[in-house]
Amino acid sequence: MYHVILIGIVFLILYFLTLTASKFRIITVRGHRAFWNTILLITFLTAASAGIFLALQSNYKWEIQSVEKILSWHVEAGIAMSFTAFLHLTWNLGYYIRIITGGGEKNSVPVNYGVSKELFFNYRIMLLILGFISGAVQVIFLREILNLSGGYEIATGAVFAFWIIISAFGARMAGKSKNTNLVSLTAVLPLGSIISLVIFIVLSKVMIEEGLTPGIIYTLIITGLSLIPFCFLSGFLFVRLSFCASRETQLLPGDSFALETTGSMIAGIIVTIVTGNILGNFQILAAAIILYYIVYLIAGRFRYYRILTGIAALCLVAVIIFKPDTFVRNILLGSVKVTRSIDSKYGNVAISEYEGSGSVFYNHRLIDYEQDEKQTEENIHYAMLQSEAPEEILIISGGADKHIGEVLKYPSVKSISYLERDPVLIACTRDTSINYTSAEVVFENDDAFSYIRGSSKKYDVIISLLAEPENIVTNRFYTREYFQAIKRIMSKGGIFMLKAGGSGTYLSDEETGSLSAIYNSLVGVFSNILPIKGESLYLISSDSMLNANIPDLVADRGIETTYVNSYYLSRQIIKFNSDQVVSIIDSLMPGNMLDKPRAVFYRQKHQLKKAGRYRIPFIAAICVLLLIPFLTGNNSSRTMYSAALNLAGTELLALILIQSTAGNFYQLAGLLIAVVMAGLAIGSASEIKISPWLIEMIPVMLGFLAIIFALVSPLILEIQSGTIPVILSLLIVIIPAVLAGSYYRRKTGEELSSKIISGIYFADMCGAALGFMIIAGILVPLFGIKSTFFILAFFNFASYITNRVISGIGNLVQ
Amino acid sequence: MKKREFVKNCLMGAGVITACPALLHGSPSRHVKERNYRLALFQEESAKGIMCRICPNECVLKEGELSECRNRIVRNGKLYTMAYGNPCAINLDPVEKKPLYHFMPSTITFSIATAGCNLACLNCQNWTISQTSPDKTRNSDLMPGSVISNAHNYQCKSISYTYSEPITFYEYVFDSATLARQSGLRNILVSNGYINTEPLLKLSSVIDAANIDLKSFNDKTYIKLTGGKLEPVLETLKILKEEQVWLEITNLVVPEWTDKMDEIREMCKWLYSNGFSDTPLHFSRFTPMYKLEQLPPTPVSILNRAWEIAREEGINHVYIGNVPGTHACDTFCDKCGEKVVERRGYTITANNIENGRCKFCNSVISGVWE
Ligand code: SF4
Ligand SMILES: [Zn+2]
Repeated sequence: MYHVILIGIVFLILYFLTLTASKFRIITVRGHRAFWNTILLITFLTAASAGIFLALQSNYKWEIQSVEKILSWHVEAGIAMSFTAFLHLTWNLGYYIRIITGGGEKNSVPVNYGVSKELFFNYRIMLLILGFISGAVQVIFLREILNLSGGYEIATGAVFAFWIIISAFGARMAGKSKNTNLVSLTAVLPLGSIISLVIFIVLSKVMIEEGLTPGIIYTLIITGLSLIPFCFLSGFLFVRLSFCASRETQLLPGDSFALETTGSMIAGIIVTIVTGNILGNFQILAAAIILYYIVYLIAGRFRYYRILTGIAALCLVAVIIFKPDTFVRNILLGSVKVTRSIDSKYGNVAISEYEGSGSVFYNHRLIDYEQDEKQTEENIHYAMLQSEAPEEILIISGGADKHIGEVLKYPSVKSISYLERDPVLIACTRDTSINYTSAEVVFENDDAFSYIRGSSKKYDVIISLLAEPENIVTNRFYTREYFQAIKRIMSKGGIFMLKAGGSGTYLSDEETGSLSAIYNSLVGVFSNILPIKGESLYLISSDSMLNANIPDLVADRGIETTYVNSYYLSRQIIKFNSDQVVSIIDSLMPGNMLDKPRAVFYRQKHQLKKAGRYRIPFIAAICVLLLIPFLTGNNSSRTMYSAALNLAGTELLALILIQSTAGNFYQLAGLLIAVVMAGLAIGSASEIKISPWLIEMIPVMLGFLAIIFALVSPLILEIQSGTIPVILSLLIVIIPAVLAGSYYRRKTGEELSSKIISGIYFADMCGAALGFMIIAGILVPLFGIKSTFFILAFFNFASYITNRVISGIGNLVQ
Repeated sequence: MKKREFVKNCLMGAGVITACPALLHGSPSRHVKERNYRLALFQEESAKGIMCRICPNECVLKEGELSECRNRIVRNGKLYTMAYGNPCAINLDPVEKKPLYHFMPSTITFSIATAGCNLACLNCQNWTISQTSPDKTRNSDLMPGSVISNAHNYQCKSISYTYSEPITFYEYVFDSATLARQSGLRNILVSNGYINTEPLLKLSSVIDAANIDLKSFNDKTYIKLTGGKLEPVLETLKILKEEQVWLEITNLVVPEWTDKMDEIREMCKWLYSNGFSDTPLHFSRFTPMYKLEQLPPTPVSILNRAWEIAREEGINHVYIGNVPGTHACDTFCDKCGEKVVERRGYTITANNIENGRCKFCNSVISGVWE
């Protein structure tokens, strides 16, 4: 096999790197061309000499052992040469066009895109659309990267960290650069996002075997490499724009920051609105790029800008009509044929087929497939059999028709409520032609937590088939608070069943930790808990007695089943396994709570284990990298760093508070982010004069705020109504956001230097990245919300004290 | 054995289970104790260190180094196993679950495993014990003598060395199996078959039945999917047959990886031409597992096609596993074509084999039926 794709990617990346380096004056344009001319020469010589050799061998029938090797050298070098030649063509394209069109060689003056810089540049608009495209690309990429990695918090944090590191690196380089050709830089930015996407797709195909979920290390390598073009460019461009704008116009760096942030905020809101079944992820990306160019063309008033804008508008229509999503999803989910890809408000649903057998993937994880009697029956009967004559049944998620069908095997059932957050999931697991007649079947479309808190109906059996507590979002359905809410809507002696993780032969320490936390939360709410090990580990809870003798129960009730019966199951083995599970529960482990999501910590640790030996040093290395600006920066960057870390942490904690109380994560998350952005924008744009002394005191203020939040957070969690906690959570983030924004404005405005702007921006980003990573992945799951606020307070005070000490030493030395 | 007997056996087992759960679950230890270290068999000194010759990995280890299978270590210039008498998984299973359909049907087998494996399959069901070391798992204290007494207590007819990879806890398997034989119990090896000839010959002398995973018939796929090679596994099948160990083969059909019909046909041809036509072949359904999560489960139509191919190529006893309700779980007489064993799940619902022979035509049905 010849390495056409691999050589192609390597050459493209290399070409892009040398080209970018030359554009940013890291190397000269001549150096870049000399490098590629040399490559061309080497590949040509290799291919040619191997070719001559092969020709002679064939003519004179030489008996040579390694002729296959020479042939492969000939072909591989040929491939490399072809790619180089194509790349070569790009810088001589004008020359060939002129030959073809008869223009000759006389016009060698560089073309300046037909406009003068002064005419073109409107810094405000450019900063706004830079923010817009960055925001849009960030949301889309984050979604795709999470699909790739499985969406664990620590991976999310790490991915976000990578995003920021690269942008920050771009910003840092911009501090050193003298490039003022902003016209072309702004023109290539969206191309960066396309290149990033192509690299992402190609690398996920080349580096990951079919069907494989990459571990954290691979995820980060793919993420890191694919984000380089876009993030580097956007970070670089922001600082250059910001610097040039402050030099040429009245725009202070703080204003630039506010404009860019506003652009991101607008993108965030628009993307959230158009995602719900309207546009697919890749459609949105394409549309955002085209919109960017439309604004760019109009703002620049290029020579043919009207025609070009018209063409762009036509492209926009084409993207909306011809959905690229199914096509791209097919490449990404290569193992199956995706027949439809829908991006709902809650995730990506890919309806697919493999050898005629249908399956549904949700965020690239299999959630439904044909002929899964084993799991479907287990999901229903272990719980249903425990109730004498169940009438009112609630099924939460897991797939509609197949589960309802099993429940209807019980003649006593009068009504079934099927609850699912994502309407797209109901639609694709339900056959609307089926008319349920033997019982009333209601499809509810709501978040499980808010539905249960708001329901006045009583159920005999409640079966929760929601995703496992792999992240803070899904953890809510495995907490004591949730179980208490469930119990409130259960009839006397009702049955509640949930799935609590895998059920391998041996449960690892991490699985045991997560299981113990969930089990102990149930213990506080129900008097009896019966674990049953099947395809998953089921925990059945009730205040009535529970019976592990499933085979006899099925036989007595006369329920027709394929798998849940005495032919497959034996009472003794169920009992044996059940006892074994109970024996490994750590009774000292505190229960899983909304504000202390312990189960997530253990589940994520369990998932991370799959990544192999180097996962911990790898993550530690990223944390250390992110700490560099704090450890090596000056007082300003240290303060910016701690303010950003504090803000990221507070944002996350507020998000958890919202989820835990209002139970509506997805939509309100957008609102929360918008509030943070608005706070930053207000802080960084406001003209209010603040004394320097007060500015230096910002970490102390943030520290005290964190203490106050620590004290009020348990009170917020106790409020049952949805709106008040949401308002309180939004209030929690706005003050730290305004303070962080103001600090940015004052510090970057003190002295006009792109080095200072980039240094502060770099610190800001690294602080935020570290905040997301350690708070989501480690602090909240281990210590809970309240203690994490205290830790944040401590960090802010530490930052202030370090600054004072360093300044004190500096003064002494002077 | 009929369903009633099966249930009776289970009931008797249950009496014991409730009587002594503490033995199995009681305070498992995380540490490998001194008595769990045993001098490893088949070790050789080489210029680069101590070489283990048990499996084709042939690890060469220096002082303090851990083997690829993670349960062998060099101490004071000698190779030791750390997996002796410290299983981390103990279970009771119907023998059909191993799967073994032609070996003492409807009996319960006492299953044990320690941590460690010499391969690293992307779809390992038991990765929490196979990809780790005994010092990182919760282990029970169960020396070979106790394995035997427990198996007897639970009314088991056999002991299965299973779940992770018994080849890597070779010494424990060998000693337990030797004792088991003496006490009238049979021994079952559920393995990837990735073992060298000499250790396998020695082990065969105490093993009664084996289920070997033949994971693919393509060497490149084998390496990518498992980290091992195909050839040694084929060699294992031949040796087990020659040594008259009752053998059944499992082929897990993984979409996109091992579901190519031409490869399945090639595999069946090889089995037939090497004298395995009477060896039961189980095609097992894949479900997303461990690192292979972004795949669909194997469509049942593919398993049915594989079943047909195997039959066309002359394999007499072909089964489909992990698909409840499948009809490809019954045994037919290869002479008269009558159904001799009817199964539903792990239970035999009709048995027409008497003294190992078909009730209808009196020809021998290969297997160990009593
Ligand atoms: S049994 Fe273990 S130590 Fe021995 S060669 Fe195989 S992998 Fe290496
Ligand atoms: Zn017969």
